[in-house]
Amino acid sequence: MPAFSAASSDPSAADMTSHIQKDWEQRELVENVTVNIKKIVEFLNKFDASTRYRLAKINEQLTTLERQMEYVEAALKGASE
Amino acid sequence: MPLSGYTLRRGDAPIFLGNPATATPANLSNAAVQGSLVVCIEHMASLCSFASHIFSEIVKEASTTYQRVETLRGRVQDAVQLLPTVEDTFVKSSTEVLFNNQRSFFASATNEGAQLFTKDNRTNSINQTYGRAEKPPSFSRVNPYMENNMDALKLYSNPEFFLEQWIEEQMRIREANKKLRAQKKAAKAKKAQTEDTKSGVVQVAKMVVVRYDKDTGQKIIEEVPQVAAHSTVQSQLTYAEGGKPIDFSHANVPAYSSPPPVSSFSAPPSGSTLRAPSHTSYAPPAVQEYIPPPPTAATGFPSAPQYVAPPQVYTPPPQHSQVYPQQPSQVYPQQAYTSAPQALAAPTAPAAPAPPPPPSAPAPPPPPSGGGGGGGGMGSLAGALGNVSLNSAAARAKPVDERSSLLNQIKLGANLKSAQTRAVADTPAKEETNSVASILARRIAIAGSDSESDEEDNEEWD
Amino acid sequence: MSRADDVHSCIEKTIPQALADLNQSYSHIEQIAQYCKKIAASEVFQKTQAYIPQALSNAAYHVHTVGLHLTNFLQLQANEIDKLELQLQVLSDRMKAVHDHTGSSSFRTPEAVKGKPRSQPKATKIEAPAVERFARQPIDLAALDGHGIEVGNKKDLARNPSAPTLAPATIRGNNYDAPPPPSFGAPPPPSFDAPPPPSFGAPPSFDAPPPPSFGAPPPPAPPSFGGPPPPAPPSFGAPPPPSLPPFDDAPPAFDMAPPAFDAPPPSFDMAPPPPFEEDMPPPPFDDDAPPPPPFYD
Repeated sequence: MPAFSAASSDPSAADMTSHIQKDWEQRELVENVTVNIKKIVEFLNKFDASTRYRLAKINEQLTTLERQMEYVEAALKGASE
Repeated sequence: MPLSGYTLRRGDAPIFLGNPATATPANLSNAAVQGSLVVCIEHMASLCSFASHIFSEIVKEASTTYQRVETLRGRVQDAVQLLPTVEDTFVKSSTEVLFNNQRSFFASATNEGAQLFTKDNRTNSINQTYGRAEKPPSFSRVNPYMENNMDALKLYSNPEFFLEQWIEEQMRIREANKKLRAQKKAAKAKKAQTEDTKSGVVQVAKMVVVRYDKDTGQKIIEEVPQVAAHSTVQSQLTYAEGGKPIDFSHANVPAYSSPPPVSSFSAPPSGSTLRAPSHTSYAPPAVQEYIPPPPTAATGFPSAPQYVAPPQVYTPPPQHSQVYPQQPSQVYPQQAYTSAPQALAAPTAPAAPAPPPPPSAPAPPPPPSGGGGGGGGMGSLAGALGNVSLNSAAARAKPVDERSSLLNQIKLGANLKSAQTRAVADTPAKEETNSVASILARRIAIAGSDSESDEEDNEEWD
Repeated sequence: MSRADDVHSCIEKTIPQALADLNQSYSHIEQIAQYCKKIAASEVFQKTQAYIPQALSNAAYHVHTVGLHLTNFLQLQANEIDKLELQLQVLSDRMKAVHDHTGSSSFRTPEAVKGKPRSQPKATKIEAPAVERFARQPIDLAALDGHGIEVGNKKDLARNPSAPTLAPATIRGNNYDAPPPPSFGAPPPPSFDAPPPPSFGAPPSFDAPPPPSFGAPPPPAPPSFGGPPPPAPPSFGAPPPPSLPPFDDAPPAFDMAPPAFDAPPPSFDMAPPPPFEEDMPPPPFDDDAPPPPPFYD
């Protein structure tokens, strides 16, 4: 920032501050990226848990249906003979 | 698990490839930032791999689910097509066919797992973690030196530890149950034994009294509640006395306690003769298992025989007998003679029934010496009492008679202190025949007056 | 259904597609990371700096897509399963209804299903009895003529007006205990209401068992009734036997021992009961009632 550069008499100091500022920004960027990556990871974990839960529910329903199906098929088979 | 699948890979330190000479702060900072940026990219790459990993697993399971749903749909459709024909056959076929047709063989094709967490069931991530873990040290080299040929690895880490603990606990519980059961059995056996012994001693058949109502002529069957042995004796005596309580407590020397008065009354010939009048005095004799000696017979009291209407026969005695224990406290500490009057005086009429005196009450034995304290005239009585107490272990008949005589004499002593000498003198002198008339007369006299009856009663005894 | 299938299949296709895309992007990113590591050039730095946000958004987009597709897929699966469940319910209900309708559920024994197929059980034939078809028939009013008491026939009356009309062999029921009908004519015996009581206390004012004849004039036989006192039946209290010998001639009939009629004897000449010795109480009644006056004049 130009305000900072006025503090130092040396033009290199001004460059330094600018450099530092740039560095800071870059790091902030990096930090932002990592935070977002972590957010995605968190989302993925949650998603995984919920889908597994739903799949388990579906699996349970399917098992009961299959058992019922077995019984009905057996009854029909016995009757058709 | 997912988190473990995503490992932040630590990127290598950024390498600043360049001339140190041309290194400017800007370049340096840029280089540093670039390094972190590269790391960021790597992170993203790992993120993507992580995501794909998760999704692929989910998709796998979803696809299996999809397959199952598809098969199920197909089966349902087939069943729906088959149903109408089956319905028709059902409706048309006769019951005979339905009854005889065997049911088809049914077994579920779908095997349901127990959802156990076994080596095969582990997820990928767990497998990976397991792979990265360190193996336990090799104990196989120590095994030859082990005592009992134990596996050294078991000492280090025994995966079956918990199972063995559980088995041990189950065994302990089983042992405890066994012990409990054995204890209960023993207790039951003991109980049975003690009950048997008790019953052997105490078991006396219940007395069933059959009487006829005077007015209506109807049968009256009564069950007389069992009374303790000594108390029945008491009851007989008291009844004969017309309700005067006799203090039996001190006379109830332990020797008398166990044998029920039944045998004592039925055995002696004197008793039998005495019993005769009861038969005639009462209306139909009571149908009894054990014949409670008619009060007059038991007491042998010279008092006029008390002819009470049959219905009243058995009720007063228990009341009277129960009167006694009211005065035990007064009786015991005192001498036999002096205590008697108190006991007698107390309830003249049937009072509230009190429990019969405990047979094992520590009745002070009739002190022969105490008899001496009563006066010279009492000496013979004391002697008689002493004799009675000494003969307690003798034959049944004798003790009873003596006891009754003792009681009577006590009564006499209670009522006629002054006349005791006369009474005592009379007893050995006269011996009246036990005729019905005489006994009846005595009974009637008892009902009327006490004092006179005493003299007459005395004659009967001894 | 087919639409759902299409959607299903779509999802089945799209999901893998999305996954593939994700993997692709992953590989891209991987490559770039490797490249950036190797080349530490300042120009690359700028590019990487620009690239990173894009890569991130790309990754986020892929993750989102795949997740979305998966969620949709699972939702559709749940719908499908619900439909199937309903269909299965219909099937089982229909089977149950069929079973209930035909009553085959009664044959279902509680035992577990046997693994081995049973050999043919013995064929037990259920033979239903032949049911005759119901046919209407006119009511026969004379069918039950044989039962019960018959009103006196006119023929008999004409024959023997004097005799107490007792239709022969018509008395089948137990009508002795019935009081004589008023048509008997004579005033009913004073206390012939109850059946002969077991005790003597019943006033024996009626002399003989009134023949249950209805519609007959008071027979002149009464004097004969009261005549020879019938021997006292030793048993009293026994109910009269139901059968009466036919009375063709009343008077001679009554000369005979009263037909097992244990009605209270007309005379009280009987000795008092023997005294009871055992536990029997004395009977409550007095036997001192005087004999009743003759009934008929």
